[in-house]
Amino acid sequence: MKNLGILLDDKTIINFSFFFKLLKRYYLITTLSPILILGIGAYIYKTQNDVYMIATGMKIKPDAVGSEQSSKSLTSILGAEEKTLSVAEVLSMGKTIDFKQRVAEQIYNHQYFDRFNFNQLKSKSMKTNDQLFAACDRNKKCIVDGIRDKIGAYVEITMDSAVANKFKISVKTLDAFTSRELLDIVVKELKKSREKALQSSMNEQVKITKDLIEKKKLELENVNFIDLEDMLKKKEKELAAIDNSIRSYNRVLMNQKLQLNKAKLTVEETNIAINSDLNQKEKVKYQKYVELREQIDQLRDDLNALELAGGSSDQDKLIIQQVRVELRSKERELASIGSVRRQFSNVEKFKETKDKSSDFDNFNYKVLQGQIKKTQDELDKLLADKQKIEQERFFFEDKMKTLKPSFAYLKLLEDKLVQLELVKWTIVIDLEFDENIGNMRRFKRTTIGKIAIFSSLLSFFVIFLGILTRYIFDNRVYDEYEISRNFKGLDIIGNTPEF
Amino acid sequence: MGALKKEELFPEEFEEQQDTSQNEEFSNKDLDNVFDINGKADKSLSTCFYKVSNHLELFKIGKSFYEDYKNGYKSFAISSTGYHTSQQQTILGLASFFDHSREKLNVLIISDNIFDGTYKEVISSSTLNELKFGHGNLSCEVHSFYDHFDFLDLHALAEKRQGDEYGDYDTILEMLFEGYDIILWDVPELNLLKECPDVYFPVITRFDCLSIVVSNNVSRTKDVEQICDFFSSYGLSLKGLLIDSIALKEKANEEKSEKKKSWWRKLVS
Repeated sequence: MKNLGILLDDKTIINFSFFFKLLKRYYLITTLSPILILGIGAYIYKTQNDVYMIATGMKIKPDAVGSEQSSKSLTSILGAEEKTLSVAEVLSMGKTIDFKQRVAEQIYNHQYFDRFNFNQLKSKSMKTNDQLFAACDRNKKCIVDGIRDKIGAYVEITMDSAVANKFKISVKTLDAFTSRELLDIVVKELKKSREKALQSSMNEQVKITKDLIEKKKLELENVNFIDLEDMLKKKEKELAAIDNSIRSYNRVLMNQKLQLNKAKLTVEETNIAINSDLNQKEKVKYQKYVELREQIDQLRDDLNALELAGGSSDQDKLIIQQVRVELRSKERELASIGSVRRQFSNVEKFKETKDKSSDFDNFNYKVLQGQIKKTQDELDKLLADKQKIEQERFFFEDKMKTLKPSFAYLKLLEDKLVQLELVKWTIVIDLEFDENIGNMRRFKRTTIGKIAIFSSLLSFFVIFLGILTRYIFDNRVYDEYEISRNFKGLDIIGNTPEF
Repeated sequence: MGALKKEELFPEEFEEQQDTSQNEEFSNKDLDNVFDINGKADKSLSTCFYKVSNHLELFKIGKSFYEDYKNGYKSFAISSTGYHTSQQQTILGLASFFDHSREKLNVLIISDNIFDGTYKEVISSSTLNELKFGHGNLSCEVHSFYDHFDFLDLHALAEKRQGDEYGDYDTILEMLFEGYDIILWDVPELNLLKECPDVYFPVITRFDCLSIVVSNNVSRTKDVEQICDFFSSYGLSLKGLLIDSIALKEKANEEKSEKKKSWWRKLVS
């Protein structure tokens, strides 16, 4: 066995110098392999049929959740799940059996069905539809199934690398007409299927919600929840009415009490006024006031008389002076007593008035007392009624409390049902297709560049493998380097002598 | 080597040889005389070394063998993967190299095929001598090429066997091994060695080292490995490989003629 280590090198991994030596040694492999491979590559390229490709764009509406914006807000209020199409879902849209089946049926029903080309992209020779579906013997189901199985290879949905949420629907067939018509059918079917999917989803939600509502209603009817609710409402109304009455009575009672207090005070004060008299001190004070008043008047008269007499003697002047001093003194004394005279006259007048009204005040007071008692009795009765109604209300409330979550759930379900019905009738698909379709492209399935690169790489690989195999199975020794590497421990002594 | 003429190889001795070869009679040669020091001193230097076209290569390989000799080796076996001519030429070249040395070494070439190939013409120029050992009780015949080196026919020696006993065969080999300074063994093909182990086994055990002649583009790895494995199993040390010059020359000629060919002929051929 040859030492394969000779092909390896510590630094360059492959021992290139030795490998080049092998390339030269086994030149047939080196030259024929690439010629053969490139020839096959050229043959494959030349025998390929032209592929016709047409594409259009499609994007998911940024705010779309299977319905319009308004519907979105409704669903969000309701807490419904926002079902946006994921990238994986979009990419797999054209791959479902149902989708392909519908497309196949549409193709079969196309007026120019015979013009469609269903040959495989890699097929070398073209076959007509009759030839392709000869085994079906014109059976519609068989042909549709056959088309369904084939169209998967023609239609492709890919993601647009440049624009977010944008996808490309491309159709590749061996015929321009087929590509164009197939793309048209696929786009229409995508729209339909998406709309159907959304509608179906909504219907499902409505159905589920209705079922739940029925179920909950049945549960609540079994426990007479509606009656309980009515009773509670009735009690609440009664309680409100009583509260109003109590408030009114309270106001009346307060007024009556105020009037009673006033009447009471009036009666009391009247009695006091009637029964009371000015005390002795006040009387003395009044008498002094009267006396001082008379003295002042006398003194003023005297002074006037003296001044009018015109006495100019010193004695006259002294008398006048003395009268004046005395007058001033009496006036000061009178001033110090105050308004005893007005007070005395008021009391006398008040006593006179009260004597006349004392009978009426007493009567009024007694009437008010009677009214208050009556009002208080009414109020007490109302309070007792209120307490009774409140107890009843507590009883109903307590019972309602246990059923309230179910009831709230029912309410929510009813709300949701209404909204779902609204959403259902306002559905628009969340896919937006480009209005214009791109130009038809015509190309070979495998480009010449790809074939050249692949052939070159394959040539290198085949050369490498071929030379390696040839070297392994080549038992001959060629040169000193190879001998030294293959027979380790054996030195090359030199060349044999020649005579 | 087929065109080798003895007068070309040894022109100064040719005339003298002519006289002796005409008689074709065996001259008795005493072993003591053959290997005595005085005999060595009388030995004249040969110019055979320079008759080799690539004497630089011969010097290179000869030096390698001479170093081994200095290290105590004296029995050198030369084998090949079927290149008898190159094998014989190598042995003759090495004999010439040792003969060329100033040490006056006694060189014996042992082969089972001394009358064919390259040896044929040298043998025809040699004199047949009888070597006697053990005070004349044992003897064998050698072909002496003047006083340069001797040839021994292994087949003739093998006849000395007595039935199942080695007898004189082994003894004479031992005596030769002791008597000569250098013994160059022309090793036959492996098949032959395997067929007659009784003849060759005593020989193989006396090899100090083995060199193998290989040919570029022709020799097969498997063959070389077989030879190596065979002799290694006898505990023999392998000295190295000798590249066949004849094949190299042929290859060079081929390449020359290839260059002259047009590219499309190269591809077709």
